[in-house]
Amino acid sequence: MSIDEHKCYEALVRAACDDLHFDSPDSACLADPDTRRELTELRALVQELRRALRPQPVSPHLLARLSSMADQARVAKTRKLVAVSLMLAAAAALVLAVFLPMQGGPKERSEPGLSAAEASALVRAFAELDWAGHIDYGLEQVTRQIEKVEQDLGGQRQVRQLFPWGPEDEWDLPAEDASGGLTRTVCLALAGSVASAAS
Amino acid sequence: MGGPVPSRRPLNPTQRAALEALIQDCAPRLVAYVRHLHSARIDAEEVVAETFCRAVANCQKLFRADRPDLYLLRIARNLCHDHLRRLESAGGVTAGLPAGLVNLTTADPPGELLRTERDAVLRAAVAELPLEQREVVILRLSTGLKFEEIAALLELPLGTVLWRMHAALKALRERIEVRL
Repeated sequence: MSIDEHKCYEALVRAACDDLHFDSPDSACLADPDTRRELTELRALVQELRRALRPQPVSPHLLARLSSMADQARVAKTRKLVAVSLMLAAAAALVLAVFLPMQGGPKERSEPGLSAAEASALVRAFAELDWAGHIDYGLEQVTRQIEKVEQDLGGQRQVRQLFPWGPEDEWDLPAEDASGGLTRTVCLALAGSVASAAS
Repeated sequence: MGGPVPSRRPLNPTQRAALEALIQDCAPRLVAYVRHLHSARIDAEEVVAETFCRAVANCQKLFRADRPDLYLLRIARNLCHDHLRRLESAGGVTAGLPAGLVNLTTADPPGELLRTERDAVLRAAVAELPLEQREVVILRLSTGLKFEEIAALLELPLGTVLWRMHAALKALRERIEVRL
């Protein structure tokens, strides 16, 4: 088949299926009388096929099933901003972690600060959370991660009390304050925890 | 803080309305797609129910999709492939015309032909097409996708899709001329 013939059958098919108008540049080959006749026949066939294959109304039974599914549908409480916040927080924590060894050895502190070892574990956990590569965090996932942080810390601290947010927060809601929202809050709080551990 | 918390919430009214609109718009087209493509080998309504079940289980993806109808169609198509694979492994797929369609070469089903004689002839002719041609015909003429959208869905070059449509129309014209 020549290139012209190739282009012509493509134009013919498109025109027959109403994807191409006669006055378009691609339709030049349709000017041939034989092709025009073929196009007329194909259009009639396409119209008949459309009628024969047209979708029919679905059964009431199926509609009821689908409506029931829609009634039970749930959406995960996720927000990309949360993922970005966590990644930024992890990055901030990692940067601070680099400076931890320069700030002296482990020190014992009273609540709500963390020991250097705890801060390191926290940093590692957040780094892991970040490097896991997830974009959308569901609450279940975050809850698991928080529990893992607690485990990493040996369960000695009420780590969740140090977090500025938790799984029960309504993350889908936009930030109410204009001070940078969750990202800023998370970064400041985590950086504060780590910095206080280092001091 | 602490304790188990629900990680998912019900759809808000806007999301619920969007999902209902999708059901109304897409369910008939999905049923037609599966029914014309695979006929009685696959229960079309069951596949469509399963399609929505999977889509609803991940509503966020559905709502984020640029073309939710194509997203649903892709799920339905994958489910059909899974069904056929299971049937094949169980030895349940037989050659020849799908059950439930009029076999015009051997049968004489007057009731079927009297009701929608010409439509039945056309549907039977479509059912005899090779699967890859049949799918293009159904996606264009029943589901209403553009050729570019079909190419994207089937992950084929546009030229291949147009060639399949051309071959299908040519074959259909010859078969129908003989029969009508």
